[in-house]
Amino acid sequence: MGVFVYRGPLPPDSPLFRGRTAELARLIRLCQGEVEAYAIVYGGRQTGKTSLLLRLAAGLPKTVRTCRVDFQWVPGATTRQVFTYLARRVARSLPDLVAAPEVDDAPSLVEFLSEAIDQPEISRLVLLLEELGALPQASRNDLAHVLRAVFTNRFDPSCRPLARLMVVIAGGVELYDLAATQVSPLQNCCEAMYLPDLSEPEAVGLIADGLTRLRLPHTEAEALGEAIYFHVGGHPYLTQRLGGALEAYLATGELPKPAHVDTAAERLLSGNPLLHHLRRALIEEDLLGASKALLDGNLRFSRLDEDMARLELLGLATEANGYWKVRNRLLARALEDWLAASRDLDQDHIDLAGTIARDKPVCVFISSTWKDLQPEREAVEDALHRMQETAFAGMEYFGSRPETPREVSLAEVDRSHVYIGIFAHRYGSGITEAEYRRARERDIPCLIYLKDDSVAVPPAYIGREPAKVAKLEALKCELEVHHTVSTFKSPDHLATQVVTDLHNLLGSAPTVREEEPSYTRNKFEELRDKILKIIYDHERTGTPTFIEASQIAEELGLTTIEIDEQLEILEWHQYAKLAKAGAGNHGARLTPLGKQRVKEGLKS
Amino acid sequence: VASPRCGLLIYDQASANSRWLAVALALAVTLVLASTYANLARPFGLPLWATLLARRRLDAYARRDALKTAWPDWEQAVRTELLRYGDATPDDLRSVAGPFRRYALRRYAKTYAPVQTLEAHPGRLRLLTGDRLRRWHAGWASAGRELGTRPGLTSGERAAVDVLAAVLVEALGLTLGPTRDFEAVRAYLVEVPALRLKLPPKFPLVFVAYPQPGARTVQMLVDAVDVLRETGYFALVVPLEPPVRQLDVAAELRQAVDRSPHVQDFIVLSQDDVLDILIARHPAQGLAQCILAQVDLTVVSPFVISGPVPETMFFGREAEVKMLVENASIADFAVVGNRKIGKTSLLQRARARLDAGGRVKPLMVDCQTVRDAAGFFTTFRAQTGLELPAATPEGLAAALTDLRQDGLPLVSLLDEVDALLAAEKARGEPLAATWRALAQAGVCHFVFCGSTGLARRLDDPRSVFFNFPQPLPLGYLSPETARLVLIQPLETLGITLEDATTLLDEVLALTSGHPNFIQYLGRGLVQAANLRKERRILLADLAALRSSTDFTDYYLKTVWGEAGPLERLITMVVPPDGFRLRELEAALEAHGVEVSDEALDTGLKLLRIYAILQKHERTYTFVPRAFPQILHSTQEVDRLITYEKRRLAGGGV
Repeated sequence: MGVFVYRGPLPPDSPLFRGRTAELARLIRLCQGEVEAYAIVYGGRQTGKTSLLLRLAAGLPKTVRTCRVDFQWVPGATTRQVFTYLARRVARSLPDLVAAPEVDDAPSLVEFLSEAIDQPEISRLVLLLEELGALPQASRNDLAHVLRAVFTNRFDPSCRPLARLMVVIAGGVELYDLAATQVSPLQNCCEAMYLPDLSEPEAVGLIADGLTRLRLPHTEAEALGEAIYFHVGGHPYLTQRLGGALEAYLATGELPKPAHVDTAAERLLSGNPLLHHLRRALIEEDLLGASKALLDGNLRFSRLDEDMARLELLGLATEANGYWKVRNRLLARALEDWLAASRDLDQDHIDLAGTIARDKPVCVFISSTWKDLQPEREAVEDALHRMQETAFAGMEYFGSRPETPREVSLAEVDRSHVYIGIFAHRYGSGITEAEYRRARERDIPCLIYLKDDSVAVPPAYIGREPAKVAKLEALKCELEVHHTVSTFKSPDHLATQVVTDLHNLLGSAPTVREEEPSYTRNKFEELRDKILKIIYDHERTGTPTFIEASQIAEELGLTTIEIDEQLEILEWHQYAKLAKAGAGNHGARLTPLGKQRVKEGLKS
Repeated sequence: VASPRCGLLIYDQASANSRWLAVALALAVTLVLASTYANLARPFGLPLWATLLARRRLDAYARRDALKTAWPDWEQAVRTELLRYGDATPDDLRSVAGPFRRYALRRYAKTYAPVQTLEAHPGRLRLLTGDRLRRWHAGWASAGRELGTRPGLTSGERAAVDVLAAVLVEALGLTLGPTRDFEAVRAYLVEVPALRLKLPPKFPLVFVAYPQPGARTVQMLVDAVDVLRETGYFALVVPLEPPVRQLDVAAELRQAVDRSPHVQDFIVLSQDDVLDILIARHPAQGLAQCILAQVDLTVVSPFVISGPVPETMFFGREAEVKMLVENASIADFAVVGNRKIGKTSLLQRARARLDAGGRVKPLMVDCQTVRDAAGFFTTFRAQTGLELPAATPEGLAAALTDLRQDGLPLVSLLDEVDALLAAEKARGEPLAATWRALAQAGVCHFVFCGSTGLARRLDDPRSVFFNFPQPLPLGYLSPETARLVLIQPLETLGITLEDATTLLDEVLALTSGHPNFIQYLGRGLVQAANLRKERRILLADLAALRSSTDFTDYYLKTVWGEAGPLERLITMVVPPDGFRLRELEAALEAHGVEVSDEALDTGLKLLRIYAILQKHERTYTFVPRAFPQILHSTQEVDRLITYEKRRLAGGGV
């Protein structure tokens, strides 16, 4: 493990945890003293919310019990499921509480909480709630109303133990409607804490300490810290990320210079997961236009400005001298790039809208190397087949023709309206690059996806020839310069991104083909309920019933992507992974062989 | 002997003696005068005759600095006598020069009569709580006699500590709860009186018998408090002391606590602190001063901005409370108002009064999480403890009818009913119809509490609520009450104000008497004073608070509260000094907002219910007078108008 940590939260005793002194002291005070308000820790993605909560839990005396509830585990859960999940988490965090609660509604949840806390050895229970964004709006609101009711009635003699319940909620933009507006249920009972960036001494100190540990002279390490601060202004993740880049450079045996920080920042701009997430969130929240006003920097700071407040919660905006500003230079650069790309896309959108208006399917060309990216191509093809507006074009359908493969491919590119380039670690024969260049020549909108470096790849799928490796690297650099490049971790991840990007490009929700198996949102939720119920039943009875869940999924006519989404819900059960393995490669349904593998896995 | 010579001799001898006597007398007088002059008259700048004859008016003659220098010793002498014996006479004040003893007693009485239980008699000063003091001293001596000679407390010492606890609890008006022993610690759970400080309603009172306290003593305290405490770690700690004092035990313990994480939790009371409390005319205030001397002001600051306020911070609303309490058994009410205006606080106050009155049985139900009739029945059962034969309107009616026949008139106080009413409306209001039927049959009367949803039902002729409960709109506080909300807690905290009149006027101008704003400002001002480590609030503190984005955002959000997009648009487009309907229509049109007359009428009605606008004849003006200025000076109003227009177009209400 390197000195700098930028994947996941920092452990509570990490020496890299910097700043947050005032926030931590306030939280500890709130958690130990009389409950005068619940706390909401606001922060964009990767601003250290979870690290702060972990540190808080570690900093509280043993008599104060903490219960961390991460709603990522129950995405899309209904209100009842949320209440049950919360009750179960509380029950698990209080070992003396043997009975597994049956919580159907708000009163029974409140009653359970009251009983759970009413133990002589529990002086305080602190609920640390995270990732409420994974829940549907209705479930979120119902949970918020329960918390508000608990808060309001904590001095009521009939539920006196509730005065010993403290709630700390951490999140970002998903909490806006829940807590930030005046009509939000939690608005009147929560103290808001906006996590600031690290101060300059904290950020520079963090980098200097880390690099000094890697035997770099302190003065030079500080200079590098200042260079990093110049770009990312104390953003916790980006600071660590750039520190990590310098660490990697040091490993090559050369001493990094401030210029290397500039290079590393440029590289971040061309393909960092956080930036990728931010761009996606901007589109989903419809805030790309608002970010233009943010870049202009002449709006007075007030959180009543909804768009700016949302941008702040996304982690893009902050206050500076009474005005809204972009949080740091790197993010400002990224925003400028995204806005420019959006203008290009708008133009593409106009062209494509004409195609759709003429009731013609939009022809999407999938370009990639063949050997190593077959599952990805299948997943994308599967997703495109379910979109009414699109037609898939790729080498799978070229058939036998007199022309050379290159000529056929390029001709297909010419016929296409959208180019999708999928790149991993092989350069291949060079046709893929040629296809890309033809798409550029023809001004065809390009959607570019790179396989995430963190994904393990079989050695056979990694190019070894130095010349081809160099060509691939050069091509990737070019892609990053000219496009907003997305990274993917799995075929389905890629397919989901492609569908979303096409939706944005085409300017409408993808229409599902009537002849294909389809599902409605309700059906989806119904399935999820059933699977969760089976899991809960299993927890009570101890009988493994995952296969039943898989069968239900199959009965509902779901394909790989949907099953995988469900599997994510189940991932906290160890056999979920077995089930994923059982689902086999990314075919349409669970195969008999897949089922057999699940059974074998469960038996073993 | 009879001879003239002899007589002459005798005479001469007598004459000589008399002379010597006169000389001696004169010398003695001179010495007394010189001594008086040197010791009393000269240092105090008094004429000699005044020292001897005019002691009653020492203040008028004495040199101020000399008197100031001497007074602490005299004061201490009087205090020592009072604390030791419960009274003091001039003869007891040996360390005070004779001519000034009566003065010392008189001055002490004058100074401390408002705060101590003193009774002045000619030539005597007496403490009315002398008996309490004597019991304390007796207990103190017994408890500390063998302190440090062995670990833990003997049964005799525990009994002595019980006496100490009983005396202290009696003085403070506390109630003693369960007791626990841990080595040399004896702890009691006590219930506290109503103080305008943010303290838990129950906390431990701990007596510690460690002659040399340190970190381990603090850990013992934590363990003891952990078992007894109800919520936080707050506790009063009294360290016992040995008869011969070799160490300031209380100071040592305080230092040990200061080094621990519980610096804001444990209040160490020395013997002197306790004695001060015991002789205080208002012992609870004495305790408050001890607490405030040791913890951060913000820790005990009672200003509340989240949720309902406790009884001690509830001011005003007497007319509303009286209306509810006196008529609850014969009429139904709907308390309507915007968020944070104090609806729940009012309801809780009314419930407490109804409970205390004993003439009706209040049933309070918080409907915050209730979304349908089934949820209402579950919540009703859970919060009132009343079993329903069936979870149906009929079941509710049957249960309430049975309960009514058994005893007192029933009053249901239903808080946060908006969401429930919205769901009810969609189903044809069967539950509301039951409530109305129960009220009309005299089985149970209702007090509903809510905001927009309730207000809309009251105004809807098709709703069961139309002409059912009597609306009781909740507005801002009167200026007098608003002042009390700020001043009284500050007085308890011992905080003074720079130019109190100006500061209070500015607070009133800023808040217009909105209770939550005053609480917000109170909290912020205490924080500002605390940052400066002072007990004084400056005009500059208020100015800084007023200009902060946190405050202005909070202010605007709170004023708008539940107001929908149309209502918000109205407040943003109208002239700040007042407007008529025609001007409003023109302003809306100028901003491209098209609304029907009916919608506009409803919007204006809601704005009046929210106490944002008031109407005089045909002119509307803002109730929160600072609103327009704060809005236009701190916000990009055009952007806000765009948001609300977007929301209005999207069907937002």
